[in-house]
Amino acid sequence: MPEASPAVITAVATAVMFALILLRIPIGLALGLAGFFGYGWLDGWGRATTMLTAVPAELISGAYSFSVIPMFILMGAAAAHSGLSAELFNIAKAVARPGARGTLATATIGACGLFGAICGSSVATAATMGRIAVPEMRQAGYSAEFATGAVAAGGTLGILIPPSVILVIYALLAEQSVPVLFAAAMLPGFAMAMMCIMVAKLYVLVRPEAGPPSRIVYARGERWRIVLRAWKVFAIFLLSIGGLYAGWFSPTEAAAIGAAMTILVGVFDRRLGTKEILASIQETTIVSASLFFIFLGALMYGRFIALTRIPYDLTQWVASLGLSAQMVALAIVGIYLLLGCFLESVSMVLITVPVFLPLLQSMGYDAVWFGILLVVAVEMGLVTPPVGMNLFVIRAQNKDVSLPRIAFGALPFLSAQVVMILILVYWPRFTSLLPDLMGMATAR
Amino acid sequence: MQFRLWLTQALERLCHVIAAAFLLVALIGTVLDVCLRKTIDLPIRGIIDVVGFCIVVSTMLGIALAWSARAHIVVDLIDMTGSPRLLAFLDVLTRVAGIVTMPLLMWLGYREFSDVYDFGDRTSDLGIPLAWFWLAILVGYGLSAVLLLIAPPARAVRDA
Repeated sequence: MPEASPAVITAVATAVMFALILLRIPIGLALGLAGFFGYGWLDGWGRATTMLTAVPAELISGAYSFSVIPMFILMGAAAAHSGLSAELFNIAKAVARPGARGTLATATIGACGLFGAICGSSVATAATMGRIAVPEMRQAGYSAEFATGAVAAGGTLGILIPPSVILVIYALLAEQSVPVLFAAAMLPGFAMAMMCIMVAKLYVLVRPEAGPPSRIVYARGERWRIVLRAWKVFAIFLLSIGGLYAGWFSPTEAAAIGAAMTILVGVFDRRLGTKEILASIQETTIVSASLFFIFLGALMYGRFIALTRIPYDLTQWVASLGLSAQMVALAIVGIYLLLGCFLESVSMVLITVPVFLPLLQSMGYDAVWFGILLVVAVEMGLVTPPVGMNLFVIRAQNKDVSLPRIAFGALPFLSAQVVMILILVYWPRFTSLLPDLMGMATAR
Repeated sequence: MQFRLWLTQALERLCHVIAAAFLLVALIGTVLDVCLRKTIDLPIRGIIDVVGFCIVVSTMLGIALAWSARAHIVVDLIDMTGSPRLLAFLDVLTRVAGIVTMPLLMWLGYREFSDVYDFGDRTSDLGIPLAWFWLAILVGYGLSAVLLLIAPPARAVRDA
């Protein structure tokens, strides 16, 4: 191979990686190949081979820590198969003001937030809630754009409200504490849910015909009876996530307890049979394996990036520009929005964290704050075309609504995410309020 | 073709059963450990090693299954504009990339497996030989290659 500077080799390897990804090569393989060739070009093929050989050793040495990922995925899969989402939707409808315009949309967002408390995946949240909420909203006369857009936006709450699979992946990658990250995500998650509900309310103010008033009538005391049925979800959340903060469980144990509780609740409610449990486990096996495959590829790519010293050079270069920390943070969010147009969330996190985290830490931001900013930025990618995964999921369930119409419906909800980004950038303490209150240290 | 299909389905079923069993063992083991520890202060010794091993086995078999189910995460932007022939070509390209890479990784992993086997490396709590972990990795890579070789082509290839 011809001699070249690390910057040129990085540019070529990254271009090859994106080309492979666009050619439909699995992302994990594309990352691994680009990392291997980049490493080989820079430091010799012998060392690159040694590095590639040692990558699975990381899976072995961290296997117990990694087990938190399949456990949380199983918790979400079991919740999705057990039909808890339908109950949550009924509960959210009972809480929302009956008779007002857009009630079903706000109930959908609320139900997505509740479902996010037992499911750590946005796509699973959107898919599960979409199946129940969209047909009901459309039957009630909601416009297709508003109905699908509300589910797409509500679905994104799944990765912000703990437990969040993507935050766990980030924690493993950035060597941060999972409980601290979950605590840091709680306030932004709640605030995001509230802002999405506000957007839905504003939507029907501007376009009243999009969300006609609901005709649901409750008998006296019925609303409360329905709301009280939410105890199961709260019990699962309180025992698994609460137990994590009470110091009873490690993150893996909390996830396992949550998964077991979700399965047990499903079995006792006669919603989960052997068939559904097996389907949840099979789904978990494949989803977590495909995430781990990307993780292994990203490890190889990360080692190559570390060898190039690009993160260090980038930090030096940005420092020489004299930009404010906020400007740099906003520029990074801009890069995430661009990447979100053609990469899915986990890959985005795995590719960029080794580069951006040192840069932001050098500017005074902490790693926990960056984790939350990252998730909100990634959320935006989930509802922006052309690779908005939530849009695809909803499109698959509603074949008569085109992708651009769903994206158009989700567009107003992006404003909530933009506001959250601005809050996080200009008031970073927002993420450390709850961890500080709980006496947790957020390390720089 | 019939035999290939039968073999693919049989291998997939076997992988699913084993991967699910190991995942369940990890789940039940973790929950049992917590319950015993919290109620009668009797933790299960070496549960971390057991759960770790189960996750490695389940993950590696899952990687093979994801290859055959075409469930590895890809960016399918090109599907919107690409012709069936192009999509068929890309499907073949992915399979070839997997068929070349997986045995190569298996061969590289075999060297590591031999090393840990010769040195007799073990986990710290239960003393599970690390060679077992590496064996699971080799089996996962090997099964990925086999499933990629024998699995029927994607619909796009058949249509083209």
